[in-house]
Amino acid sequence: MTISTLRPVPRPRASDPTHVRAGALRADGSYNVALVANGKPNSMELLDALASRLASRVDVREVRRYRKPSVSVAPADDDMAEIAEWAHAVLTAVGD
Amino acid sequence: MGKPSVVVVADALTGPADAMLRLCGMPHYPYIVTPFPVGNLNGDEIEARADTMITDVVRLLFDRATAGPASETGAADDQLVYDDAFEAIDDYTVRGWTDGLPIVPPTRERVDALLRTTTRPAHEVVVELTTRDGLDATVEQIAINAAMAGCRPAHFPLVLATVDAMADPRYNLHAHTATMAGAQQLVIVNGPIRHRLALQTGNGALGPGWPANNSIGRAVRLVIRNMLRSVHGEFDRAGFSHPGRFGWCIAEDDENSRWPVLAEQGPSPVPGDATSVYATVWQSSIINHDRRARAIVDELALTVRTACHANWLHHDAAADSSFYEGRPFLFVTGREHARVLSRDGFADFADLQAALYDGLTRPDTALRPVAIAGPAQVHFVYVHATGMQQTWFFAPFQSHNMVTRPVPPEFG
Repeated sequence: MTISTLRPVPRPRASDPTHVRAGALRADGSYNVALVANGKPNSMELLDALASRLASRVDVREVRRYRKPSVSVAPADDDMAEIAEWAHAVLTAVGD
Repeated sequence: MGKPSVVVVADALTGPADAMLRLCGMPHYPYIVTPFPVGNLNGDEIEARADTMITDVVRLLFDRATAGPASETGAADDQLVYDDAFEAIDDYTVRGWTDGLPIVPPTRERVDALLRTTTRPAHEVVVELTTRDGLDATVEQIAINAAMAGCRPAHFPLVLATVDAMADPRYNLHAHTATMAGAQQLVIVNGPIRHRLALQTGNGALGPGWPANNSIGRAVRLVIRNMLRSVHGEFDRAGFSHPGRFGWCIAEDDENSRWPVLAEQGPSPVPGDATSVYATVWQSSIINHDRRARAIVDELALTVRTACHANWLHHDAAADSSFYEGRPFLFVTGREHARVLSRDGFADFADLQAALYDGLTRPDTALRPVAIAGPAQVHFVYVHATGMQQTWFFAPFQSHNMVTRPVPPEFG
């Protein structure tokens, strides 16, 4: 006798049109750069080092530093809103 | 957000990063991989590490060619048909839908029997992880996994209330089901429901052999594995892992406890049937035959303090967390230690909490203070384990708070 059982895992997702990769920066632009550290040791130090090198190669107008409230939660809503409003590019680290 | 971004991931964490990208339908999204760990590099090493990355940073900001095709989204049947139960068990195992042990095939009839114990609609979302792009579990999906774990219908209201508790952001479920520390999700039950379900509260209460304890704990873990994708290759990155991750549900011996039961120890006591969820990363067993309460408290504190000193829960490293104020420290004690403690100065639970807090934090020439915010974060659970003069310390996952929920009565 056959038996029928139920699926215990999520159904595969349909494509989500909101998940689209952002376009590239233009080479002749001037940019605000947000550094988003996840709070792990050395995450902001690494981002600072990257930002200083980036500024030697690209016209970086301003750098702002953000840190998640805890290593294991999402960034604060206020920070995300500010980044969305202000930044042209984001560097984030480190999955460590 | 539409901002060109560069993500740096340590090579030990590419599995969860790739799982997240697949979930988002962007499996080919490029990111920078750097050797693990970064946290112990000195200043010169950080600078050198940045030198190795900067070319890729610039490339990823200025050359953003269209990523490859999105992940496959083929149809999946909600129902599967097998010749017999053994074939179903084998197939679920091959598909990675088990914890490695055989499961009970979740037939429609078994799942419906569980669903009839609650008035909540089958499609209601009980837990959702926004940090995993909205992975969630409905009442029915929890029932499917509970049936697989061997739960009986009477167990289901407790399983459901436990998943409710885990969904509270204070519990921070995403973090401790993805951590390399391999945390365990401990379920602690109080109230008359322990008797109705025959949950073990006496000798052997922390281990196997108790169908209600073991199937309820396993149900919780199967939900975490199957629905929230905490499996290796996806979001589970446990380095060593732990046998407590097959499932760990214990029940307090409320009637014989000298102190308030766990569900009533916090600022918002939950009387009656209750379930509490705690995340633990390791345990220490303290066996001490002293008949003086103060000596036992000092021994507990020394053991905890020594282990915390070596394992990140000392004040220097662990105070910097948004979960610090509510971070719980759980002890499970048996009959002999509870007798000594309660008869020799600590009949009042607040006195016991204060004494332990002092032992964990007072200045010491060798050991740093434990990262505990105050005496109220000391919790005790009593199990009627007899003979061995023993207490267990369950070290907390550092970024979580314990959450307690009432368990509604079985419907119908």
